[in-house]
Amino acid sequence: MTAKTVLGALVTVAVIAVLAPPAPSVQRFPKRERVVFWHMWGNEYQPVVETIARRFNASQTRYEVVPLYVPADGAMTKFLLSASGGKAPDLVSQWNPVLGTWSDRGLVLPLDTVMTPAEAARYRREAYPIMKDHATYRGRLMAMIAGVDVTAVYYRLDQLKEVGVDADHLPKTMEELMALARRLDRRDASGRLRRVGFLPSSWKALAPTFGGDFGTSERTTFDTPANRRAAEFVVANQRRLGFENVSRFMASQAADTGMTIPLIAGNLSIMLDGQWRVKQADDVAPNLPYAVAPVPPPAGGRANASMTDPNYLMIPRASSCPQGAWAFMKFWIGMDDAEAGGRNTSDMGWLPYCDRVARSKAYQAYLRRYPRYRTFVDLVSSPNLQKFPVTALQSFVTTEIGKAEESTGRGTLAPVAALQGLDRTLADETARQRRLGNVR
Amino acid sequence: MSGAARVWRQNRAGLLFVSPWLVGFLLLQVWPFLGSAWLSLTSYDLVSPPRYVGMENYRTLVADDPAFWKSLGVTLRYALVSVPLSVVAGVALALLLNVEIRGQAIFRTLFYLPSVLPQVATAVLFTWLLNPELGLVNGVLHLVGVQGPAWLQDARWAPWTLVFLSVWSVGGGMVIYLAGLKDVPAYLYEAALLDGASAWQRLRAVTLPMLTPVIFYNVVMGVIASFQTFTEAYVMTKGGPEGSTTFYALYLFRRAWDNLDMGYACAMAWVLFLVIAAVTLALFRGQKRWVNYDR
Repeated sequence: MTAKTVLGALVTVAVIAVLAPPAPSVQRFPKRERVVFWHMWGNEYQPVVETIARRFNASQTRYEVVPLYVPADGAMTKFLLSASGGKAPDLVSQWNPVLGTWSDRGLVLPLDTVMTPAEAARYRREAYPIMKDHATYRGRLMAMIAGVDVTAVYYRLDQLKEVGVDADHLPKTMEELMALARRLDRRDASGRLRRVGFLPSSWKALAPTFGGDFGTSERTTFDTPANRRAAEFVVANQRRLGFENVSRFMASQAADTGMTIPLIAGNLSIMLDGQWRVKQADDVAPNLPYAVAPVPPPAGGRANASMTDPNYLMIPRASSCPQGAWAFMKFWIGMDDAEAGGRNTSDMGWLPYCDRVARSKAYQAYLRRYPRYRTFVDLVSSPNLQKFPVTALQSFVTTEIGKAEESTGRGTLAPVAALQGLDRTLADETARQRRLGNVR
Repeated sequence: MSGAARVWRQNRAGLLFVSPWLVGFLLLQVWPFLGSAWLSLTSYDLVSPPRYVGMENYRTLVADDPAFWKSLGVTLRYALVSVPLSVVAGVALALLLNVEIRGQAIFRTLFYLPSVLPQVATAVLFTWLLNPELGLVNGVLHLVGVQGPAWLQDARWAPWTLVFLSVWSVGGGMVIYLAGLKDVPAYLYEAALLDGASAWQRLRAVTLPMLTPVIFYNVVMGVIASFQTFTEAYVMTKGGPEGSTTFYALYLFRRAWDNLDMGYACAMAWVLFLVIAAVTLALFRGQKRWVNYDR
């Protein structure tokens, strides 16, 4: 072997060593049963998830959870490929509307196969109704809900002060809110929007407040009088501001973290947002003068209403350690240990699954630190919270709603036409999938 | 010794040398290719075994899926505009960069550079450059008193913005045109000069005809690439606004991975293959009229 060959081999090895990706999470307790957990929480949430896993690993001696962050963009594809190859993780998280599709395709394990009957009964007894709703598909518990996203209204108090309104006199009705919002709009010399009082863009999100809903898993319906009212309200506001102005303004609000959050940047005086924003805002801008309150209902609407979205924890059918996955799910939400659940849930900036966890010392300490969060804790048990019907065509429906909202938001489609169009599109797709034998 | 044995003996060294490629080609291209043909006749969700449904996927595509036709229309429109535009821009750039001037190599490098940048990085960069309120492009337009459009947020503009972006990476084609220009025999120019041809006449009568084989190659490759356009739309517009940039490949991807409709997506892939094959065949038929292979 010549010196050149040896040198070439050494250089090759060195290049591979430099370019090789770092090893994935290493198992620290090789004798324990490994529970591989794929989650989608990056940025500031990734270390929190890893801390929760570490706490779980320290809490018992049988399992070891190995968390792996999978970026949201490729998470579904990666999971599906792994499941079809028969080598799936033991536990996955998802915030996309996949429960119906994945359950129907047999990708996830019904939880009654890993829960004891006593655990199942306790969960059904104590979980908030909205948590149970989200976790259930066709009558069976298919997931645990690590956190549910609830919407409320955030008010920038310094901007409200400009028009003589303070925290004790926040709007009680949607009509009052809109009247206030109009006074808060600001444009520059060329007429471009620089600040908007209130700019909801999703009529799906506002439908519950207007008394609307979207039917059931068996029959999803869009075109109802209340949904029309919600859609017309959202679109009327966009029309008032100018569709193109709104589109341009929204494009400049792309950032969703740090100081550029519209609430902190001051571009929106009043905004609809989820519970996670309280911790984010308080950590990034501790002196920000703002208040949080439930969405005020319009005449004939519902108080304390919100559309909700879940963060699922699911056990893939191909999991090699479903019991370990279930043990970790219980630990996360605090089923057996409310204090642990309170700490995990509050570290993520989320809502607890039941009153018992909400009353834990850890969770109460969190509420003392972030008092504005209490609005969401009060909301989570409201009977007017809604989930969008879980069906086998959930992903398809979500995409179609997004397209319809985009069209109404640009003024190219009237709200009623959009709702009717959605009903038609869904009926056509359902018929097609039935012909192929893909849906029941 | 039989004929086959003789052929094998004569060619075995070569076949053994190319065998790694052959094995890869058979396993990673031919097998999936045939597999997708079978899957296109099934209902397949990646998890359960495929279920034979005959031509149902194809029937639905053609007769019962407006989104399919819309995505095909979006893609055809893009191909019809972006391919000629890229050819014109590529040839023009190559002609300019073929002129012997100081710093020629630097200019060539600069114009080629965009085509070696990762597509996703370029797409993210342009998303910000083209932001209607904060973007550099509209900022510059504002300085000269023009209110720039909402490039990627307006359904009327978004498809054309992506066409414009296709020209951004014209450097790859330009290099091939440059190589083609170097291949034009000098005596043809000398003869043209002796005949008193002007620069324009030399371009029209010598350069362009001699460049037609290279142009044809780039047209074929450009058409195939434009029918497969995906990344820019996926990263910059997600197919919006209002489906105006939902290219065929993006719609196929969504059917496959969002809806777990793998059989349907395979049928779409085969339709795309047939469309590309038909267009390529038409281009090959038509080339006899305008491509000059004389030397």
